[in-house]
Amino acid sequence: MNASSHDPDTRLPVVFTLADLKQQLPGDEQAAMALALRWLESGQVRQVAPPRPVFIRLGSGETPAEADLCLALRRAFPSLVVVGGSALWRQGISHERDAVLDCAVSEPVERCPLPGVRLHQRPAGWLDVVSRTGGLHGHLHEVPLLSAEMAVADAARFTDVWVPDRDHLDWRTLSAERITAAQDAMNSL
Amino acid sequence: MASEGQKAVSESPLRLAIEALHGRARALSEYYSVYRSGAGPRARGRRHQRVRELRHDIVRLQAWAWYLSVADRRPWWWRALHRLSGVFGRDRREQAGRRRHRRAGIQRLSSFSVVDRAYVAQMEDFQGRLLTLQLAQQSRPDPRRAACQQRLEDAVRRLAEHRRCLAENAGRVAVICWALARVLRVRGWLGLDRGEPCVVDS
Repeated sequence: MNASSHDPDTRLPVVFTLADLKQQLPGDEQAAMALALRWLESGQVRQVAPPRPVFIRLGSGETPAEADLCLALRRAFPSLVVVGGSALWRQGISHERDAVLDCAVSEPVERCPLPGVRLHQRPAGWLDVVSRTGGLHGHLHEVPLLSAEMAVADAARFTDVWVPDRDHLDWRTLSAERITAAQDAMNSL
Repeated sequence: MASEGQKAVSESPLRLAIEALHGRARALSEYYSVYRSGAGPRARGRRHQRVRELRHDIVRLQAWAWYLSVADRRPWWWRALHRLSGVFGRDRREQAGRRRHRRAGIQRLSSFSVVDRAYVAQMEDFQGRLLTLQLAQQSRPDPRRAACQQRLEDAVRRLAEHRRCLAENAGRVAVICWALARVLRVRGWLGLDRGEPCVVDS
């Protein structure tokens, strides 16, 4: 592992956890911690959402590929869901593309320094309510998307995510009944 | 203000272990919600199997957390279970990793592995915090941060000790999780609370 003391080990994937690093250095936890710290100091890797022990190999100023970004966030946050305009655009409901990927998580978020993504905190039990009422539809790189109706209801309830103007939404594909049901579910939180 | 239950757990020497179990159960519950809705990764093929695995793991975590949370008070049922698990768990060979469950035809983790993974996840969470603190400490030294670092290192050491104890009592863990998980399920069916002792301060 001598070479890896200078460069993030090529045996490690772009997204890795502290557990993955420990597996590369079996029986030497302190060495794994020291190596992770050295890589973080050098800026060769970043902590996806400090203090969570998930890392991404990233050059300075580099925006990660969407698949890597999704994987990194999924490993840091089990409750990760794509919300707001990002969910609407990816389901073809919005004619306006999102500038950053809007995601919601139920876990506490201190910060997420990754470019191209914005995390929004939701109350505990949010994902359970969404899931029970059929509010998830499809996924982006294995990250679930809110259904179009639930995305609209969630944006109205929490008012912290970007959604396109009404004129930029394809209302023919949205069901008024399902929006009402989603709003009732959101209001129960 | 913390309730009596919260206070009892916070002051217990097993607090860290109980927090780890609740934290892991919460994380698995989030995965469970996603898989149950059919939106999970590679949802089609293994969805039902994964949902069952997750449900089973969550209830075993809750069972072990319940057992630990009343260890200070030692009620009669706890003492009886402790004694029985010593007898029936003595010769059980529990191995880390997945094993095939005969009746369900699916791969399941042993109770020991489920609990051990909860402790490992909590240790790594603390170590992630340590890295964040060390990084900040190098750019802007702060004595409060050093004290916090010390607390986190102690917590990691205590969790490592819990893991060692767990490995020595793997058979007991299996028997206790088996018994209390069934009690929790019955309580759930009857609409009673799942026996979770309390919400742990985070």
